[in-house]
This record gives sequence, C-alpha cells and structure tokens, in this order.
Amino acid sequence: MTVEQHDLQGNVLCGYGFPLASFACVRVREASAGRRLLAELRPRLTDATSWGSSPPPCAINLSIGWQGLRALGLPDAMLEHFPEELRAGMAERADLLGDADDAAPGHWQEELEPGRVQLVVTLSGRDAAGLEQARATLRDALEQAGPDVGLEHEEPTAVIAAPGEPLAREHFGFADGFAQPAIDDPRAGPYNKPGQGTPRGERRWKPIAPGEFVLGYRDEDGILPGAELGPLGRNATFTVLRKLEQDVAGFRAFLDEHADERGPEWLASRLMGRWRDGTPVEASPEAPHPSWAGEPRGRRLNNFRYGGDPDGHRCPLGAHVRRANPRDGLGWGGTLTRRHRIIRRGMPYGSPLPDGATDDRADRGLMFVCHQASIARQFEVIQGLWLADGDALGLGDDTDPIVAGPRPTPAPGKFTIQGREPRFVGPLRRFVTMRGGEYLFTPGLAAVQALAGGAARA
Amino acid sequence: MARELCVLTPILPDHREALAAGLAGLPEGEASPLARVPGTHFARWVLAPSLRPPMDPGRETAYLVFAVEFDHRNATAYLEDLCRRLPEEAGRVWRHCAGYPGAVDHLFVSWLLAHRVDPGFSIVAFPSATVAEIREALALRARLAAFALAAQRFPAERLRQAWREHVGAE
Amino acid sequence: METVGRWTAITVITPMPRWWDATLRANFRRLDRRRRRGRRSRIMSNLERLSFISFAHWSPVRLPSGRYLVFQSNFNGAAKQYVEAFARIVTWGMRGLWAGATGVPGPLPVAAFEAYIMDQRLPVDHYYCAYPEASTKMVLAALELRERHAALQRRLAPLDEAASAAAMRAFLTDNQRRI
Repeated sequence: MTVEQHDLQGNVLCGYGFPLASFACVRVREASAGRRLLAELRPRLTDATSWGSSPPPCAINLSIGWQGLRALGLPDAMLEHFPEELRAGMAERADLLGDADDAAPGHWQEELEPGRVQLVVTLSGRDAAGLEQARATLRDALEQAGPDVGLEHEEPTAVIAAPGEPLAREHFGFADGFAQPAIDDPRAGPYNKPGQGTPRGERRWKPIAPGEFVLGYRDEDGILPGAELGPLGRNATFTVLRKLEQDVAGFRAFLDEHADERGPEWLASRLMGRWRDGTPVEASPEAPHPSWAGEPRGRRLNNFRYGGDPDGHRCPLGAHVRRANPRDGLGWGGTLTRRHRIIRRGMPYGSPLPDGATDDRADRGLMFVCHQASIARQFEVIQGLWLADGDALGLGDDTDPIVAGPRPTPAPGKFTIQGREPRFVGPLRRFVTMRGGEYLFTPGLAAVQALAGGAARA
Repeated sequence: MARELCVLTPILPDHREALAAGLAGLPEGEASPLARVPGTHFARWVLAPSLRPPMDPGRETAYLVFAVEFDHRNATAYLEDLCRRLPEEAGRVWRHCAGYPGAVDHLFVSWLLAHRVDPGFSIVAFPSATVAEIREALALRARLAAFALAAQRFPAERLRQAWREHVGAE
Repeated sequence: METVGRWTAITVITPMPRWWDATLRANFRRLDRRRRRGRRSRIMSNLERLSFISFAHWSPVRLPSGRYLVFQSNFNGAAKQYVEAFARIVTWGMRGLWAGATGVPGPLPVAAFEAYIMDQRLPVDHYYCAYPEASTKMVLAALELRERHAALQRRLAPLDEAASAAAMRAFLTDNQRRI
C-alpha cells in the first residue's frame, strides 16, 4: 500500500526544498499545557501531501524527545514500547557515536544539553516572510496553551546560497543534500534516481521499502516496524537532531598543510569521496564534471558502485561518502547495507566564511537531521560503526576524516589514500564538533491528535 | 597456537549469589586475575542460571561456565599454570561448585577436566599466533603507521634514519 | 553480554533433543576429517571474509538434566549487526548448527533469529582479553605485517640508500591496507 501522505508529516519522505528553517525547542512544564499545545498545533502541522506547483509560504512540523513524551504525561504502559535508544537519549550513546573530547555531552551547548530537548517544532519558510509567518503561528499556539509551555531556544538555519549552482552547499564547500534513498512508493518524492536505491545486479538499483523510514509499512525484511507502538506509531518516524559545529578555517588549513602537487582540491575530494561540486570520485577520479550536477534525474551524479574498486584506488576506502553509504562496498552486493540507510534533512547554520578569510571563530555548521524507522539500526550503525570507527571497513582505528574525530588511541589518526603510490595523511584533527541534540519521535498527525488527548482546537 | 577449553561445573544450591558477587568483584582489564596466566587470549566466567530440561521446569541446575583460549600445549598445562598463578582467586570462585576438591591442586585440575565440554565446531581466525606474537605484531603495526605518516615524503637519505626512529633497528 | 575494548563475548546455551545431539556430533566429526585433509567449506570461506570473530565454538554437552548446545563467541562490533551478518551470509551454516535445537528460530527472517540470540544470551560475569584494543581484522593485518616486515629487514641490511628507500616505499605500497 502507498504511504498515507495526509497523515505522515511533511519533509520526511519528500523534502520541502525550502531555503530557511528554524528549529524551535519548546519546554513543557505541565502535562495538560503540553497536550493543549499539541492540540493547538495539530491543525497547523504540515503533512506529506504534494504541493504540486504552488508551495505554501511556510511549513510546520513537530518532533518529540523522550523527555517530551514524559512531560506530556504519556502513561508508562505506552512509554515502555518506545525503542531503547530513544529512551536512553542521544547523550547516553556518546561512546558509540564517537561524541568524545570536545564533542562529549559534558561540553554541549547549554540549551541543547543532555535531557534538555523536549519538543522540537521545525519551522520552514519559502522566504523570510514565510518563516516569520511560521514563527507567528507557533507563538500563537504557545499563547493559547498558556504559561506552562514556552519557547526555550531557536536554532535558525539557512541554505547556503550559491548563485548559478544547481546544488546547495554546506560550510566546507561541498555540494550536499542531493543523495537520498530512493523509496519504493509512487508518491515518495523525486528521489527515485539511478544510484539512490540498493544495488541490484551489475547495473540496476532497487528502491527501498518505505518501512525503512516510516513505521506502519513493510521494511526491507518484510516486517512492519513499530508494531509495538500500535496506532501511535502509524505514519511515524524517528528523527536524529545534531548540531554539528564546523571548523571551516581549520579544515582549509589542513588541506593546505597536507596537499601535495595535486593541490588541496584533489585532497579534499579524496577525503570526501566527491569533488566539491558533487561529482563522485569513484566515477571520476581525475577531475570534477560540473555538468553532471545539472543533469535530469542526476544521471551520473549518484549512479555508481564500489564493487569494481575493492582496493580503493579510485575512491579511497575511508572517504566520507563511501563510509556513509557503502552501496555494494561491504561485499555480497547490497545485502549488508540495504537496511542501514537514512534520509537526511539537515540545514546549515551560521554565516559562511569567505574563501581565504582568516578564522573569525564564528559559530557555523550543520543542523544535522535524519529520519529512519530505527535509529539503532540505521543512524547509529552509520555513525558508530562506519564513521566514528573504521574496523567494519577493514580500516582499524581510522575514523572518517571529515566528520569524526580521531579515536583516543596512542597512535595518531590517519587517512590512507590507496593507490599504486599510496598516501598516508595525518595526524588527523577534529573538524566537526557535536554541540548537542537529541533522538526524537516524529508522529503521524492522527497520533499527534491522540497525544493531545483528543482535545481539538475549536 | 591457540587451543580452547570449556568447563561446566554445577553450582552448589544457594551459592549462586555469592559466586555472582565474587565474580563481580574481580578487577578487570589487565588487572584481571586471568591475565596472570601468560598465553591467555580470551577467558570468561559465565553463570548459566538454570539449565533445565525442556519438558521439566522443576529440575533446574545452575552451572558455572569457564571458557578460555590459550597458547599452552594442552588443557592440563593451562590449568596447572592457572593453579600456580591464581590459586586464591580460583579457589574463591570454584569453591561454590559441587565437587570442588577443597584446594587448588592436581585434584582440582582433574576435577575441572572431568567437567570439560568437548570441542565441537570452532571458527578460529588466527590459529597459530601466540599472545606474545600478536602483541608484538600490533605494536609493530602502530610503529609502521607512525613511520608512514612522518616519513613518507622524505628523500632517500632521510628515510633510513626515520625508519630507525619509528620502526626500530635494522 | 560483556565487552572489553573492541571485543564482545556471547554465550548461549540451548537445549536439544537426542537426535540433534547425535546429528551434530556426526557432522562435527565429518567437518574435522575434512579440515584435516585440507578441505575448506564455503561456510568457512564466507566466515573468514566476514572476519569479525576471533574464536567461536559450538559444543554439544551432555548433562544430567539433558543435552545442550553451548555456543560461545568473541567478536567485534555490535551484537545485532554480528548476528545479522551471520544470518544473512552464513545462513546454511546457522541452520546446520541450530535447526534441531529446541526453540531456535531459523536464521531468516533475521529479526526473529536476532531476537532469540539477544534474548537468550547469558550475562557474562567476567571477561578478559589479552589484546582488547585490536579487532580480528587488525590482528590479522598485524600478523601479516610482522612476517613481511621480517622479510624486509633481512633484505634491507646490505642495500645502499637509494635501494633501501625504494624497498621501504615498496613495502608501504604493498601493505597499505594493513598499516
């Protein structure tokens, strides 16, 4: 059956593509006030129904962390069916995720510290006026719900404008957000492009079962995830929110320091596994192809495999995109990767650092957001086993050179560029530092109604 | 060369909690008493609380599982070494089991061997490497990585010096 | 389940009927004979490719209360991923070991098998490893490096500077996946 778009929240299976968003952290001090807020918000939440050619000015969505579910007064009998990792909260998983040293929960930003995030209302705007409209809507709902709920904190984000470029960028300068899983549902967005699914045979790709991302539908093993949550789980997903601070000046300095005669851009492409414009190194190791990004259906942008490059001579084995989505790179086709995909909806925050500028120490980075049916099986496997560690990929202690910090071992962290003349790059430093976040439950709209206690807005 | 031993000894009635507490109190990591037997790759103590026959819920017995992979030439040699190196701890653990002969000596070794579980099917990733060889190899690997990072781009005349510094004497 | 560094210990003890005990013992004897004759099975090749196990054992045991299959493993990574990889890649191996044991679901669908193992695993009361910060893959790479390094050292001594440097660079290239 196809996914029920009128009940699923928007921006999960199909991205809004809005340039502005703000993550509003709401605190619930009293359960009935919290439920009143949910009742006020419910009719204003944006579902997954297609907009056709006319997007609304804004969109509003809701996710709830474990502390939020408890603050809403959910009975224990319901609470105990939520997955272990959600109940534990992201801070408790820091060791697994590699959130250590400066990224450890003890160092997180105050407003996002462990246990603090309860409700996250995502406000998205097609422009500044749209975003303001969404803010006003939230303010209004908060007022109606009374003094026992409050907006604690907002994290504003904005797509980094790159005039003339077909793909948006993130702060290190890489094209981002365009590689998403292809989903086996006729209306699940525009992502069914070659290379987005699970590798099948020599050249084909199989879209992924919707149950890998939305509860209540069959997943890749034919099972219904979230069955234990009952109706509360229908059309829900689980969301990971992480504020990832990026040391742009540090990354640029590292590239300059470690570049060889092939230059810093070449080195950057090896660390990422894509050239800055998105051209995959596996498909085009020599140089980027600016035209690929603009091709209809991204014909070549994502349509590649690693099976023909088992030694990493084209794309290094430890490159970021090769770790984050190994495709057929773990052996046995896509068998060991098809159940570990995530949908990413992150947005950059902070002003870009101009090329060549000295470090202004401004706060900038990525509000990382991803959706999946199982945080433990999907996000945590990627982050914990493939990025913050290298052993699953045969790389021992070598971590992802861009998004992870080196492991706390006596030997320095390194990155190997495999080849006939290999290069060993290091010692590695941390360029991305986790500043706080949480694991969240993103319910379907009927479930929001149920959580509100059925109290409808007049 | 790694060999294995697995021993199942029945726990005396009412001794389970004391045994569990005793095991929980053992220091971990390199301070583990089991570390005192050189040539021990892995070792574990596991309390199997109730092994009951499928159709007979009333007849339960708890067992202590001891499983170890070692370099000694056979299980007897390993157990004799265990007796020499950690007689106190071994006694404190196994005295909670039925048939413990009262002291950690040759009778103790025979008693454990009598409760040995036959090896059936095993997967062994590195059958012929000793603990010492593995540790040496890992340390060398770290030194080679340090050499690779530091010296890879050096000209020929500096390379040999760097090799000596990072990897060790030629 | 207990972990030490990169290692996790799993112990699962499953009751089994007489006939499965007899089947297993006969199968194990046969596998042992084949191994001594140097024959490798596909199961062993797949297991080696997966290489996150150092030592794992399946041992049949006869106790006064009945017959049991004692499964013990030392492995790297998350338990669920370990069980999943086993179930998907070595499916027939898993059937061959557990099909006749009492209460064990088949390896596919993975979820049921995973749930069984995670549920039935015994808490480990004490776990020791002599090389906790190294995984199976790292140990295998290190052992290989050690042999090749010894060979290199023998060759280096009489070489001049240029030849020596070339030999060292060639060594790094040949061993780039192991370092």
